Amino acid sequence: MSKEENEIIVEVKNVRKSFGKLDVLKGVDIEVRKGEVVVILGPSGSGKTTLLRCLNFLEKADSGTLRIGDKSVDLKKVRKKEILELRRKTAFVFQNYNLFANKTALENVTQGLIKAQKVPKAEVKERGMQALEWVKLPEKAGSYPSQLSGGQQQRVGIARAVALCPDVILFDEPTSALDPELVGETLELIKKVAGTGITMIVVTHEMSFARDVADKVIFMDGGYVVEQGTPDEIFVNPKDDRTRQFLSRIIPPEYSI
Amino acid sequence: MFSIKFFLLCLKAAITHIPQNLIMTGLVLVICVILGTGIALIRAYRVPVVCYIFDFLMAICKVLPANLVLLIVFVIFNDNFKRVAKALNLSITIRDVNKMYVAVAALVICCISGISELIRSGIMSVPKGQYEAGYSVGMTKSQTFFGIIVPQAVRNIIPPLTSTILSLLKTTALVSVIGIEDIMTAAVGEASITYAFLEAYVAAALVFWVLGLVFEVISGLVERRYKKMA
Repeated sequence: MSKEENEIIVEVKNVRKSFGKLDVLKGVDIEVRKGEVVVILGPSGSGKTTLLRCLNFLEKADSGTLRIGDKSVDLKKVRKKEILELRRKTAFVFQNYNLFANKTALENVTQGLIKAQKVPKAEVKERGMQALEWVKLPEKAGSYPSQLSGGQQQRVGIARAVALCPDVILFDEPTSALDPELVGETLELIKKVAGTGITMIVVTHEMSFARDVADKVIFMDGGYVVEQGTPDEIFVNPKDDRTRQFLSRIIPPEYSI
Repeated sequence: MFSIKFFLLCLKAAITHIPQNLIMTGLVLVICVILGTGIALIRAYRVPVVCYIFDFLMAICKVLPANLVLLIVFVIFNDNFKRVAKALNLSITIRDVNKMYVAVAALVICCISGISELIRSGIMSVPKGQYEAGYSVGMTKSQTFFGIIVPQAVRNIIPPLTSTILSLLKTTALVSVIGIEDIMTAAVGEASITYAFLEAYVAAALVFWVLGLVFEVISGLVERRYKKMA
């Protein structure tokens, strides 16, 4: 695939993070190429969500370096201004949607465009509506999050991220808070996002999604990257015992490829 | 025997003093909301050292009875006014100061902890995810705070604040302990000539009841407006 020759757009080196005495990330390196869909798998407590949140500075890593696009920082002494600059290269889709409760669906999508990107007013509404149409919710533009179902809220959350046109979109278990029957449509939508060629890093437990959509799968455990590779390499021929153990528990043998 | 004639006399006196109580309520409320917001922010975001001082002060303010605070503040005011005025080179005597402001100061002490606590819990009840969502779309801390957090906090604060205002209005009836003219003292003042105390008290009660009723209606409207937005 041509993506393999693309430039590296996200580069994480030796990232460490601890909460008090608990070391959550013990030196993590990852590389993401432009347009790649990277899925991070791992048991709970493996640090995958923390890693994702460190990329967006929702958690502040203790040390390491981070590069997104042409902006590179030392995480130990990153300045407020740099944090803002890097955040504006990313967008985040939350597990619990986290839509702005005091804003309508359309305002949720346009908030970042207006406040952070200073997009002219005339253009903002159009781009907001485009994003909502793209997630097939234009009729809910005037609804508040409390008036939307979980699945609809997550679609607005995805529209909000996509509308920012970021270098990379970070998905933190985007379907784990949803009703089982809404998971499918949300995953379809995320596949559609992937289809646009935008770079994505997805933390998820949806194995079939990882297999279908990922260009690269990263398996994390105990604060380390244990193994990474193409979906086939990870799912069919896992090299590490820990990966094999994890996958056998998640995917019962009769369903595995 | 209940005399309608005296009752109406007292009622008239009480009604003419409604503005006094409303002004006190309004002033105390405005001061408490402004100071209370500052204190609430300091306590909600745990500003080092200062937050502990306010934790302590608020704990004291919370437990003091209003009439006691009124008396203490009044006595302190009386005893020290001359000295302070002299030190500040002010050529005013204690008679030039409207005692209502003394009462307002005392009532602020009584009410600030309650109102500050309301504001604090209003801010704290906005989930962490709302801040994170703001940061994640590239908004600055202050854009997130004023654009996302404050409007949601206000919505949480308005309903409980309306009931606090009502009890504040009732507390203003206590200012008579330091000899300020208000609805209560005006009604009772009429009675001291005629000894029609029951009439006076009922007249004052009627005035407070009607004020409370009007206020309930207004706060009901405000609450409905805010519910719609959620």
